[in-house]
Amino acid sequence: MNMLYDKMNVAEGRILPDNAPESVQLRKAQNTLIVVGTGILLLGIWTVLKSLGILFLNRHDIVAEIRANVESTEIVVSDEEIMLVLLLFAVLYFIFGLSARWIIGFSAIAEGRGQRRGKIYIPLTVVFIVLNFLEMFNGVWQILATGPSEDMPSDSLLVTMIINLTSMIMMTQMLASVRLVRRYRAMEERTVE
Amino acid sequence: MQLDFHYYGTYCAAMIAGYSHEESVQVAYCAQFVDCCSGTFLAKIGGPAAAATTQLQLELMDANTDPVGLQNITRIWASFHFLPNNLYSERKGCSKRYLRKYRLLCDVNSELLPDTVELARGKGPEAAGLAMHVLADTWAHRYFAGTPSLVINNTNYHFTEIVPAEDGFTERPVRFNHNPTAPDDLETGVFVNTVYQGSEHSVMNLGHGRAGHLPDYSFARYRYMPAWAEYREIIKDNPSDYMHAFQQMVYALQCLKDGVLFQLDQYAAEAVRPWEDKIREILEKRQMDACADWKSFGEQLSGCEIPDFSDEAYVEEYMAAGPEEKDDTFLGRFILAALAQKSMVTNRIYSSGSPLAGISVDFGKEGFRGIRDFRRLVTARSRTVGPAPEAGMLRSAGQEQEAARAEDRNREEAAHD
Repeated sequence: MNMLYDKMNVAEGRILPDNAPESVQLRKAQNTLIVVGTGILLLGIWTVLKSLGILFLNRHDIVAEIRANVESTEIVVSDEEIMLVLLLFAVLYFIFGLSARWIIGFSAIAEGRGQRRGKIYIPLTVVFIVLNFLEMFNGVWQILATGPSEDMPSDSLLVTMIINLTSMIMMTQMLASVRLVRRYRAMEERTVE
Repeated sequence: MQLDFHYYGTYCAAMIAGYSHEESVQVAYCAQFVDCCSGTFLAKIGGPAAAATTQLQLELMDANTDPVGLQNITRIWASFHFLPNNLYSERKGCSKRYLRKYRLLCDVNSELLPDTVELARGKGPEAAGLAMHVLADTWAHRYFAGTPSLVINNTNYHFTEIVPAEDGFTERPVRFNHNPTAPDDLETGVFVNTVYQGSEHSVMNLGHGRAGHLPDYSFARYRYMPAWAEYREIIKDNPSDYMHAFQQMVYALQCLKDGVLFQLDQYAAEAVRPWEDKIREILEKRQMDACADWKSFGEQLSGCEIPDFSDEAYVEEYMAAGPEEKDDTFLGRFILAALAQKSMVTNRIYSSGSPLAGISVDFGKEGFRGIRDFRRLVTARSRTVGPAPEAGMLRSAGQEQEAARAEDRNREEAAHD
């Protein structure tokens, strides 16, 4: 049987609840993992859809920019070929961008439920935290570099920065919870032995 | 709790408490009728809507969850099915809004329970039956609140059932589905509960909906983590709780019958002892409906046949009565008892500083105002059935024991002389 909590403290034939401080903290950390893991999944979907939306709405501008760059070389490509390449990149971005976040999210949820301990999602989370940080740094740099003027970065940049900050906080909290969960689980295993 | 315990179980408790077969049937009928007296039923018979003691699923689906609607829901469920345990409990680090809901948590030996039982004194089997329903539900529905609240009543994946095994007990995860038409599967541990709703005041988060019917199964033992418990888990031992409920019902009915003041945390264990094994066997048997077993036990106790429950049994009498005579009918007395209970609980919740059950007016000080249906509480004549003990004659259990010892001493001295 797959039991999350197989503590059965039998005292005089009675089964008692396990409310030791470590157990309570473990449950809290596991619940946090599940909540944050779900949040990362949803945020991942949003991020990827947002990127694809920007790509789709600005596709003509992007094609024109690529054409302008390509014309300076001797390569001859049609607009349709450029669009095809863009579509290919979009699909790859969708798959890999979403996959990475789904690995993180589902692994966090699985560890929160006590089902399995993933190895790859922790370093992947660290990578995303660094990427988010760099993206935020870039955004702040753009704002500071532009200064108060008519060319001020758009609202979408500010929203993106807020989302990135949220994502960074969630992933940091996830790492902290994973650490707590593994520590308390190790304590439990030592107690059982 | 279900019909098996509310009707047949209460019948058995009344018989053990010394009531006659007819009285026991009436007490048991009213105990079960609390789960039937909905607004729809009252509209059908022309009764006062404010006397509703329950809400049907369809009524809840249509119920408003604005503040007034929530007050209406809370008034019904907190008064009859989830009697608040401690309206002045404290909890650190929470908002006043949360604390009000936390204080509505139902638990056993509530500070409101003596008032519930005393409201039934001298009011006949109808009021006694209603009080027994409230008392019994405090055991089954403990740790839930009679108000729609996600942060109080929610449960999650941390839910396991403790089932008997060869060498004691074993645990298995409970799986919930949300199909209300599908029966619970006791073999595989699949139960129906209300669907998760993130909205705080959704009716899906009322009472023990998120735990399904598990609190109402007398055999169930389970471990879970209620939302209010801050990640602490609770083990609910229904066989033990139901046995306590039964013993406390017998004690309460004895108090009502014998003119003794009801006290908390007292149980008629000695009176129940001759049948304890039989009752425990019924409670622990894994079956969704224990009516047959309880009925058989009840008929064994009384030697009489217990009629099947029908919510239409007294409708004709009520509908045929004139406006001035309705309060003297069986349903009329039940309705008065329901209004009195609802009024008492609402008043106590309001007096504690919580508006969750609505505003309560002291009729004695401010005269009648508010919901018109409650006027009959003010104008109804006090009724007693049999010799009505006056307040000064009520004796506490301790005084009873002292009087019995004094009697024994007198008898011994007389015999010695």
